[in-house]
Amino acid sequence: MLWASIISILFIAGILVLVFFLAKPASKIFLKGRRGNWVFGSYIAILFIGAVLSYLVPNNSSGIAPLSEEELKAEEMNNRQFHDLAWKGRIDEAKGAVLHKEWEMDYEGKELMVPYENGNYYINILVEKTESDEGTIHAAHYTGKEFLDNVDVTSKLPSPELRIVDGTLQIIPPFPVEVKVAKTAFPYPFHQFTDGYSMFENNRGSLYGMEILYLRVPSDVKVNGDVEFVGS
Amino acid sequence: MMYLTEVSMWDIVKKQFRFKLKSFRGMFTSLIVLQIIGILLSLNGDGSGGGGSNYFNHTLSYYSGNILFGFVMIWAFISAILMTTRGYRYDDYSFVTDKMTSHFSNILFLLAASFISGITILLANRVVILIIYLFQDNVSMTGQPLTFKGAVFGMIGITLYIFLLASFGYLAGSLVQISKIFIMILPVVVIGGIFYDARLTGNPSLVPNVFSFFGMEDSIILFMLKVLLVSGLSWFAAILSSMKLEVK
Repeated sequence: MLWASIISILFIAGILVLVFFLAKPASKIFLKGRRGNWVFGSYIAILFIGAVLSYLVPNNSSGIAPLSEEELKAEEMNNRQFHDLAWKGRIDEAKGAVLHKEWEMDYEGKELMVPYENGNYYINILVEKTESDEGTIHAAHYTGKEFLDNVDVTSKLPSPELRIVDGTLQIIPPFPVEVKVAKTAFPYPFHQFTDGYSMFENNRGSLYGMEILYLRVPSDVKVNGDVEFVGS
Repeated sequence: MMYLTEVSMWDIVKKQFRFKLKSFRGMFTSLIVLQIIGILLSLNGDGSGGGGSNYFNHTLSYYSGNILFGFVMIWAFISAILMTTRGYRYDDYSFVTDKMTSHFSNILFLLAASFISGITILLANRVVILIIYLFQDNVSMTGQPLTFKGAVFGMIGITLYIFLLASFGYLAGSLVQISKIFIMILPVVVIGGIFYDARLTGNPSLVPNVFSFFGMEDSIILFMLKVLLVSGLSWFAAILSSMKLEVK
């Protein structure tokens, strides 16, 4: 850490020495008379054009508007409610539950093995026993809502693939997804005199939703493995 | 008559100021080079955070132009030091001048340079944002809009920050002109003071206090007063030291 700091300081000092030692002789050779004005003028013009173009960049290009603090608190409540209701077997009533993918799988066996995990992929598995749908296992991938700096990124969450092979539910991890959010702001003085703004603590609402694989299994099928039964 | 003299002094200050805008062109060249380096260094973001679960990773990067702001403050500090060196000082004598008019035109020049460089920080920061949008995949941009009041106060604030550093640089440069021994004394006092404060008390307060004195001030009026007072003292000390140089 100390060495990294020293190297960064030396690096910046090196840049400064180079820039200031070379600036005067270089400008005397290359920027004589009006040419210097042209160079500085062109630089300002390029910056200006770039700045104007930058305002054409959609603010929040995901197309989803950032939430207000109150809205985010409400979403947090919904996520908690999602957790409580899912374990009670009332997931359909949960406002915070986002359904990503569903599967209908025919299954004639009397016992289903669900593995604890697949590699480093782990997901909560809830099982609801149902009297209807005999011979069919219904699976659904739900998540709570995820926000990164108040931007809803829930739709970008990837779903796993499911299949039943020899009495075992295979959960195939999804391809990893990476979401980048670039938070743009103005330099510090532009926020210093604005009420309630704190530049470096301004990581607004980041909310992580829980992931659930919800299985509706005929009541005569025994489920083994690392699962939890709703309502129990 | 006194009146006539005062008018001509101001005229000379104005003329010198205009002349300095042209003759200190080299300073703006170093500003361009430093800003281009600042733009490149800013592409990684001024700060970042992130997290992830299972197969879903997210990164949050900040692009606020603070690296550019820091570079420009250093530029102002060093440029002001360079202004006090012989090569630059003797430029003034192409005019009928005295030390006071020279100092006043330097103040005006550094104030103007602070304002111009402040604007270039804003523009360069937007260029960074444009580059990020054009060259990074799958990136969402979020930004807070700036209010009119925020923009005006911010522009005043950024100009004054740069001017404050320029004033410190001018004082440092003027002291070095009195005696080269200040090349040794100033870094020893500043860096030594910081280490002394940190080592001896175990609870460094000097740097945080200086930063919070300016950085935590949320009233623009008080901030202006603080900057004008501190930079005024620096200029006063610099002018006094140059008088000493004259006697010498």
